[in-house]
Amino acid sequence: MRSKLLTDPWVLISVLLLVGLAFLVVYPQLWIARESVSSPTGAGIGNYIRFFTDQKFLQALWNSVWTSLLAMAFAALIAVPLAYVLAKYEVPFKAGILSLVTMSSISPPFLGACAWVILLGRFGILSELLRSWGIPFTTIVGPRGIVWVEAWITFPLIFLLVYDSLVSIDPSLEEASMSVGANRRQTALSVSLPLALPGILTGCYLSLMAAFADFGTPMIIGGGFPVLPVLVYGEFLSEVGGDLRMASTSSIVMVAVSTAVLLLQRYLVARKTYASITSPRRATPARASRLGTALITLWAFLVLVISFTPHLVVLVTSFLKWSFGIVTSTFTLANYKRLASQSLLPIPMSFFLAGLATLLDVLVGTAVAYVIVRKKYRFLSPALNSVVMIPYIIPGTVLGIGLIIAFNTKPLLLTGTWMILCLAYFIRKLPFAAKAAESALYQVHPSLEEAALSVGATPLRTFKDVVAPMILPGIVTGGTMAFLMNITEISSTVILYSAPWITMTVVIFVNATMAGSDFGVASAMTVVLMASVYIPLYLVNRFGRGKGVQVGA
Amino acid sequence: MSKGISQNAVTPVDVTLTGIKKVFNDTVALDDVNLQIRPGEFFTLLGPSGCGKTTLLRIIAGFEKPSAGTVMVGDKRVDDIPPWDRNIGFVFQNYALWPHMTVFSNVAYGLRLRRLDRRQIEEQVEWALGLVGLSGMSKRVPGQLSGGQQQRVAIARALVLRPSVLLLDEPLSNLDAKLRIETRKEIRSLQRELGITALYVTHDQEEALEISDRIAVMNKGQVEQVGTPEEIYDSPLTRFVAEFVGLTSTVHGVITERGTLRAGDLDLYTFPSSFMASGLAAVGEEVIAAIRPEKIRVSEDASALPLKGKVEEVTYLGSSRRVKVQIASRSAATPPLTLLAAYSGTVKPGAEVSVEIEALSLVR
Repeated sequence: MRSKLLTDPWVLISVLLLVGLAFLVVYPQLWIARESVSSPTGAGIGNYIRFFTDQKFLQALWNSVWTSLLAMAFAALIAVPLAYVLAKYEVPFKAGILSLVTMSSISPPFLGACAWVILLGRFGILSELLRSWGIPFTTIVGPRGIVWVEAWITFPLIFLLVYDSLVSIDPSLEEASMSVGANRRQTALSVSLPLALPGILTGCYLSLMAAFADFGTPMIIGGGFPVLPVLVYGEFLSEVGGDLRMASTSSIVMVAVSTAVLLLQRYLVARKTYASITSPRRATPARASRLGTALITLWAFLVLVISFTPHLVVLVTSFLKWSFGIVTSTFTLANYKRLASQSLLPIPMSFFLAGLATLLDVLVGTAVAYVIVRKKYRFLSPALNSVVMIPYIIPGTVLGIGLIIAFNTKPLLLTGTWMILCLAYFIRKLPFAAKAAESALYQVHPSLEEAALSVGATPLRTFKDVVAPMILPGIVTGGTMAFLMNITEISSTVILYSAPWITMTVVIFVNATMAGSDFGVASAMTVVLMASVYIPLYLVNRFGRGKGVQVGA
Repeated sequence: MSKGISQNAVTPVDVTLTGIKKVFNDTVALDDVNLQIRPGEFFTLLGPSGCGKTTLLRIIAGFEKPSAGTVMVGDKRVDDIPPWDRNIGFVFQNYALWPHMTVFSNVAYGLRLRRLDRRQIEEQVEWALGLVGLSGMSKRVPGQLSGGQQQRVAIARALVLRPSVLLLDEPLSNLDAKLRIETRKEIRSLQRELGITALYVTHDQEEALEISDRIAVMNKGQVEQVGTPEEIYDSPLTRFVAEFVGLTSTVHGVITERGTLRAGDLDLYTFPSSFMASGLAAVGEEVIAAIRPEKIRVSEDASALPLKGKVEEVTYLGSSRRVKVQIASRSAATPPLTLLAAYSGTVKPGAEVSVEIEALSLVR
């Protein structure tokens, strides 16, 4: 072991990473677990008994489950057929459609909720219109709003995965099916879709978990409809009747549900994944009839219109005058003036926090990925692989509560500082950054590193001169996505923020949920946030092209 | 390809492997391998895939650590020296050129690590690229080169550092047949002129026979036989070597008092009296004989030669034919025997022929 420590600096790096991550990721969760089994009269499972007998908690659990499942089913219904026709047929503007779907997958998470309330809320623009046509529409606010919005913000997750699985199927498998007499529809049902099933299942899992853990959407469009993230937030922050123990207990239940779903997904995907010869050949898309092409294009167009309705609504209403919570048709810059008069500090603050967290994500994620992919240590590699994936199953709200409990005493007093926000962002997107680096690393053949070792480069030198430049495009892509998700983070931010460390998302959230407030300032800030998301994305796509950088797809 | 090599020749060293063992999880990849490679020798590790030959090469390079045993390069024990301090040249099957560097940078990288000044680096790279016939290609990136050119760059990258030993891991297996033959001749003459000790891994027996000074035939993690190409081909020690290297007919038989090899109810071959006198085989001993096709004479006159047979199959090979002959036993009760023979005349399946075995080797 001594000689290994000397010749392989990665052993020491792995140990440090493992200890550090265990402390930052696992340790706060232990605090939540401890809180959930404590009571004024001593430790026990009393809180869990209460959770599973008290209607309030049971109802929220059930609501969370059914709304997420319904949203997932709806999202799959939008995503899978669209992915299939785009993968298999020649469609005009295909590249444009693909990048727009990718773009919509990184919308700020509460953008949809805000916009659909503006459109279809009790006094919404479309609601009034519908009523004036004699359609008795009241409001989208409530569970149906949650399902509708979650479906539209999570369908791109399914779409991108299914599209990718479909285009990477070896075309000779489908040709073989047709050669034995199956027509296009039979081939789709008996060959293409079964082979894409792991992609479909993984996409559905991602959609389900995103909906289940989402806090912003149900908070804004739920209209008080209790789901677990909102309940946990309430239990944690409410000044009257708030209960940290029940918030912790509910948190553990959420983590347990996420874990169970993850295990189920892994089990299903493992059973449905077939070892296949990957072929460098890509199938040539078929040409549909003129009518077929028109219908497919129209359909894709419709999906995109609905996906981007929120962006448009927010952009337009940010320039309209609001009075008493109702948008008017008067053009104004008042919303932006009010935004500027409140404070513009949240804009650089968001960039700073998300930027620093992303930098850490990329550095730590790459190191972790390297240990997992290349250094097949008997204990350290699988251990790191597990620890780095834990944040995937921790909803943002729960992560926030864990950090507050774990780091609220000296010498580790982070609660109330900017560091705790940065830490939360870092932890949340670490799995993402690690996975991005991992897939980039799988593209680097081990012999390229061995070649460097054989001409005299040390392991760290090899990493710097050979590995790093080769995985850079993949890491830039992963880092960009992590940054975009960090800058729009809300679930843990609402738990952790305190003045003066206010982010753009906090401004939007406060203005969109405060009683009696209108959406004017929220819309204006959302426009700023959208610009902060899409401009960097555009720049990376534009200047990364040709170096293999392709964000999203 | 050879200008200015003499003043750049390296001092050849020997490589000694003692008791090398390698266990991956529960499978034994190498089991007590002992080899002595002489200075300046072109030594080939030959064997089927999974026999451990690549693992052995990677142990010499330091990419793998042996579970037991020692590796000596020259008089230095290198087991505990990491690969980057071993000064060993390694050429990979997939070339392993760094795609983000030019040809020049690929070759220069090791020199830069050694902090040579710019002029020296340029001179050395020029020398190495000239050696492999790629002068003037230095500004290209690997993606713009053909497979054969890429492998030459990889060889230049290894040679530019004047390694004490050059290790080549199936360097030609990704090239097409014609280029493979050309390139192996070039590698061989390059090695000869530089006088460098080379270890070469391949599963292609023809390649091994053509370019090696000596060959170690490996099977299931063990060395079956070490010898010159002639020794390996003409006197295989084991049935595995006989069958893996070249074509062979294997026959089980007994040595009779009359000094013949008897299989079934036939006397196939009469051993020379010197062999019987040497005591290498005893009368009554059960043996396995390996017979090369070109050591079997075939005649279309069915009674010209001592063994009678019938042609079963004829394979046309361009310059000659290979015929499978079923030798008739005296009684129907003994199962017939088939032999592979080389024959230059034309003969059709079903023809009655006679054959004679001119030489054979007894194998384990």
